[in-house]
Amino acid sequence: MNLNSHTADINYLYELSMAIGNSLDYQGNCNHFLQLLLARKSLSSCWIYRKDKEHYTLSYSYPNPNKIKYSKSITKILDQLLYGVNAVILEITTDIIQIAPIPIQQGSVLIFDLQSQGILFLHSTQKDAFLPKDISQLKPIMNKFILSLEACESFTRNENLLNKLAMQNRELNDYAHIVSHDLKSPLRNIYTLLHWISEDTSQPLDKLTKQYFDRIGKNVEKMDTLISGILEYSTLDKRKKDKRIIDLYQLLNEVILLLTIPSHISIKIPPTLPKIIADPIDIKQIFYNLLMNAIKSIDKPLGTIKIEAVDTTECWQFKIIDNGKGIEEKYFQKIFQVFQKLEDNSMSNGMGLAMTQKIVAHYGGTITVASKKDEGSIFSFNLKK
Amino acid sequence: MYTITTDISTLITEITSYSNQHMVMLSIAEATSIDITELINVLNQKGIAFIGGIFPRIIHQNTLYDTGIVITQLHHAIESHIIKNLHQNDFVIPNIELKKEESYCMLTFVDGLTSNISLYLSELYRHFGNQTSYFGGGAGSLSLQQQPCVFNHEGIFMDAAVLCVIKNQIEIGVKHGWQKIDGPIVATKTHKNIIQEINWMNAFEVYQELLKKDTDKQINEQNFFDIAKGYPFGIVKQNSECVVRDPIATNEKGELICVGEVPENTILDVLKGENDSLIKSAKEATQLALNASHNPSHAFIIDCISRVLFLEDDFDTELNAIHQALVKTPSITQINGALTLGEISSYNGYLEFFNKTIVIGLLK
Repeated sequence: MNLNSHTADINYLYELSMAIGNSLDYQGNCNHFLQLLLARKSLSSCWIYRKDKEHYTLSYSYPNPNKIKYSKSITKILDQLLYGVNAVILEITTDIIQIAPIPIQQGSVLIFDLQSQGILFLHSTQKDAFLPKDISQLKPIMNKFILSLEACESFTRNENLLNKLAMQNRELNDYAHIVSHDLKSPLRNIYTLLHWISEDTSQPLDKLTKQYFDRIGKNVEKMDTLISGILEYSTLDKRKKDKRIIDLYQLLNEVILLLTIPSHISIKIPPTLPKIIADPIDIKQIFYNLLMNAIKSIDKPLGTIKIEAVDTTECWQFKIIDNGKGIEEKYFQKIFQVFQKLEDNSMSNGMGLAMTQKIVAHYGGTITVASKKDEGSIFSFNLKK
Repeated sequence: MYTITTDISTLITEITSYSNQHMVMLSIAEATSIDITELINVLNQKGIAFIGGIFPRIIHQNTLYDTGIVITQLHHAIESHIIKNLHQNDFVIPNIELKKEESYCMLTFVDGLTSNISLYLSELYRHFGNQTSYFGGGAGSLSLQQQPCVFNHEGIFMDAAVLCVIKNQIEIGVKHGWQKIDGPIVATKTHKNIIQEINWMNAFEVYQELLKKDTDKQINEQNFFDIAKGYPFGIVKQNSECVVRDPIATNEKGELICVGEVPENTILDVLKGENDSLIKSAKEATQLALNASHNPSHAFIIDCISRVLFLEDDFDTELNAIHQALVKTPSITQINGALTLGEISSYNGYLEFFNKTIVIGLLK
């Protein structure tokens, strides 16, 4: 047994193994590994064919390939090359010359089945460049190479998907922004024209016409509120967040000052509320929307709204409990969708709960509702610590 | 031909008469006092095609020169290009159409002190593959101060390479003769041509320990070059002579700075030179090229400057050994060359950058 030769083999395989997976880019990964293999074994070229359904395409070549005319005969040759074996050493034949993407004339090729990643060809100008030992030595290296190529493929797929999503998101936001801005302008024109007609007409408007004019005016206002809602919703996550420590007790008192609370309704804030890290504007908006909905829902002579906070290990859980008219179970999901309202109120744009849900989601949380008709509702949401 | 003329008009007359309408290669010894920019301007005015480089020393027949210019006719040279900005990664390899049925040789001289030489060669090979043979070396100054050193009709440049396409077959012989004394070791952390760690330890400390086994001399930052020139690294290859990497300096971090890149996790041996084995290898390289060629007319000798520094007076023996082997082939009419900072060839098919090696090229 030649110990030096064995050590050299182990070192050679170590070096090759370490060159695999240094890049998540398919071409970069192939360059790293295959160019090293070419250099260490003094080979002259290599290439990979991949099969996509019935057809082969060249996915890598070093040096650069010539233009290839893919044909049925190329597919037939490639299909038959590795029939039943993982690797094979062949002398250069007319078939190999035909499928080689670069001009080759003589020598030999070592062909490896890369399974899902295709077929790898290693070419040497020497006829006796490869031995069966090379196949055994390189087999585990090739298995690692296959895994790295699969990782590259998966990474590229994910990256493409993310890029596509980001693009669609951008387009959607742009669309919402443009639409809301562009729609507001003709609305303002309609409103102005209505006023002009009312003011400039020589005779007073009859009762019916006045009613129609009022309805047009209300619909214009409704439309304006809806468009503002779209704009607000689409730009909600665009604002730069200013995360800081918030004293929730203080913040809730500030929110209550913003609300118009009828005298028959009382809001109970627990004296010990946590301090959380978040953007104050976001948290104010969540509580404002939920408290506002709670106030609107009160139909009893004595209305009570209670706020609760529970510290779980991973998050803060909050509840807004009211004794209002309640919500039917069939609306539990629907109320969080944009433009969904349980009552026809032109001053409400049906965006409040959708926006609340969007903000809560930004903090890695969820919002749910539990309710009984005529007894009241509990809106629960959590914010990750 | 060799000339010591530095007067531009006399030189132009000599080049014109010698070139015989062919493109010429001008190898200029670095100590030559000549205005190269002016020379380029006049050559352009006269319509003479040329490429060139500045080298530590130049070779004509069996003589080494510190000054002067060696002029080589490049029969069947088609075109020349300068590839600029090699130190950046966005250099551009020109598109050159090579016909399938023809034999080609690409002669390339690169600024030997620029970074990315391996990347340049790898990109060159990516573009032209084995449709052509490759031959050349690193130009520049032995002072290791980087300066413009490769030129053609576009001017003289540093961080660049000059590339000449010749429609002719070249036969190449490559050998170095350095012998393994220790190893294998692993260059576990590297950055381009700098070895930062060997076997996961400080590179210089490991190198010091390895050398202790062979020499009583204690290597340090001051005497590094003098001792290290006799103990280069060899990048281990399967079934062929290793590729030599020459450590030329160390720094305060204990890193080893080499001529040419050492990729991370490269398996290295420590090599040692003996005058006899180096001279023998020069003969072998010449013989390899001669055995492969038929009626060559031009011989190029690309020999590493560090071999001269190591062999000292015995370098004449190396050069004479090459010359004697070449003159036995009567068809060879030109024997020219240069001492270079690294050598380039595609011997055995794959294009590589060597150190401390001799490359013989024979053109028909």
